[in-house]
Amino acid sequence: MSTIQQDPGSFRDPLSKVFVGDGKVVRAFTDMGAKDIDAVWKKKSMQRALESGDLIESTIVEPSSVGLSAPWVSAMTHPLVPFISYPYEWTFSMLQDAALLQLKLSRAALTDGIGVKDATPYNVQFIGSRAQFIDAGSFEVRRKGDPWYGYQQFCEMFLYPLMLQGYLGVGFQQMLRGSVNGISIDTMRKLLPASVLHPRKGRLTHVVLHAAAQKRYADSNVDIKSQAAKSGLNAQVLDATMKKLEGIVAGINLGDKKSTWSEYSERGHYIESSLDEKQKFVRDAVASAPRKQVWDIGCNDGVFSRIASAHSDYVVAMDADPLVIDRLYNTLKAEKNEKILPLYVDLTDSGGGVGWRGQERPGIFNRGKPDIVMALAVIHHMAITFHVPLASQLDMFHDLSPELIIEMPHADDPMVKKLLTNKRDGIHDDFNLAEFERLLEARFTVKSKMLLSSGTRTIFYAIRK
Amino acid sequence: MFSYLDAASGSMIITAIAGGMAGLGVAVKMWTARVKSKITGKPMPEFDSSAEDDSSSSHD
Repeated sequence: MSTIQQDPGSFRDPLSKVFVGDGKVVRAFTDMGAKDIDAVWKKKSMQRALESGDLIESTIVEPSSVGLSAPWVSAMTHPLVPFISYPYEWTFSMLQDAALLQLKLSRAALTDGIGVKDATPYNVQFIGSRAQFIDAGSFEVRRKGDPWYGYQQFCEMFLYPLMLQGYLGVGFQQMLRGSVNGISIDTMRKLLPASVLHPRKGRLTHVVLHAAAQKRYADSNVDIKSQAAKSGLNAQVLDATMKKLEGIVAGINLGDKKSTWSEYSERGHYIESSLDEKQKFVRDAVASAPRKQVWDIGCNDGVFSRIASAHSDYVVAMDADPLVIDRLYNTLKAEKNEKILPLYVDLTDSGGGVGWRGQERPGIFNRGKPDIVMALAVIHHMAITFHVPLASQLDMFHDLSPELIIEMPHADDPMVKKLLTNKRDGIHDDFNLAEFERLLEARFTVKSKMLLSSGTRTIFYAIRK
Repeated sequence: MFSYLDAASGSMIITAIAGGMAGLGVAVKMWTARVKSKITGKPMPEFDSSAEDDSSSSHD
């Protein structure tokens, strides 16, 4: 009896589905899908992608060996991705790298007579800082005359979000979180004006003409596919298109270089003389037992993520500032770090499930269970700036993780005072150490705590009751 | 053989145009064929993809 279950997010491709369970991921193919994958799998481009790790490790197995039967005639197993992340949690550089990977694999496939069915960033995952394509079912035998089926999707889910950020300085994440289909052609046409001072490469063709062509042929029943094929729309032309897109994507730059928290570590008023003792406290707590997964909430430049990484299998490093995460990603990427996954996550607004029935892409709390959570220099921001009560924060940590390392700034901490500057007197009087300890001890057993030498912060290591 | 996404007509034309010179030739041919069809009143000849299907070999 199979204990693997179909992934709720795997339903769009009728020829292949993903099943998860028993510590593995299985991709199963129907008869038609199996014929396609059999025909393309031994090709050089596919083997190269597997060897380089651009394509997820895949082992072809008998469906019966993983508990599957008809209509599944072929199957492959993949290793579990340590933590599934979504494009709306990625930064500019991450989406850019995912886009370049999509184009690289699509171009290589074309030279082998292979087509790629789609072009969605949901087919890419990050193993730490390394982008990897995870949808082996995306590849199919390409028939002469086939267009690039994923072109519109590539624009809406990769190119337009990057243009939005790079050309307008507007973060794409909220829009991708709002729609699993990305930014529509029509929306992008309205959002992105021309600029004489700052020419926007790719705008004319991929936005303006694309929108005009869509409008022109919206109600047309002309068989454009046949016409295009007859006129010579072949693999070479599509490869030229993809090559030019590579240039456009690689040429878009993240405009903003500074944000509220990007200079955090260097800012004088917030340099902690107690950093060393805090690091030792965190190290001792994390190293007290083997950890599979650690979440570092409010990770900033990742100092504590790195400490946790030395004593755990995998760290998910989150911060509510995308620029901070973009920097961390590029640093980790330069190191080829595959143990720390940097994500742009604002826990006060992380989003729920999106897509079909709200289950296609579940919210972050339904995608992993950390063994231990670190919340360092973060709860005062959630409490005072975003008005999430301490009790509610501790309830969330209690639901999320069996262990917690948490830093509580006291009412007289300089940053707390700063956050309270323009608040009405008295509305955050319950933000104090005594109340925090009362709430914490109602939910957790405090294993150790330390007053940092700054004298205005206490750090706790606590176990869930 | 079976992409589950539709290639929208407008998007298909842009994939040709965006390919530069090679693609421009495709766009011109498509436009010329449409003009000819309109002038002569004859429908455009159909493209027989199966007859040319040797996709497992190499580029087309």
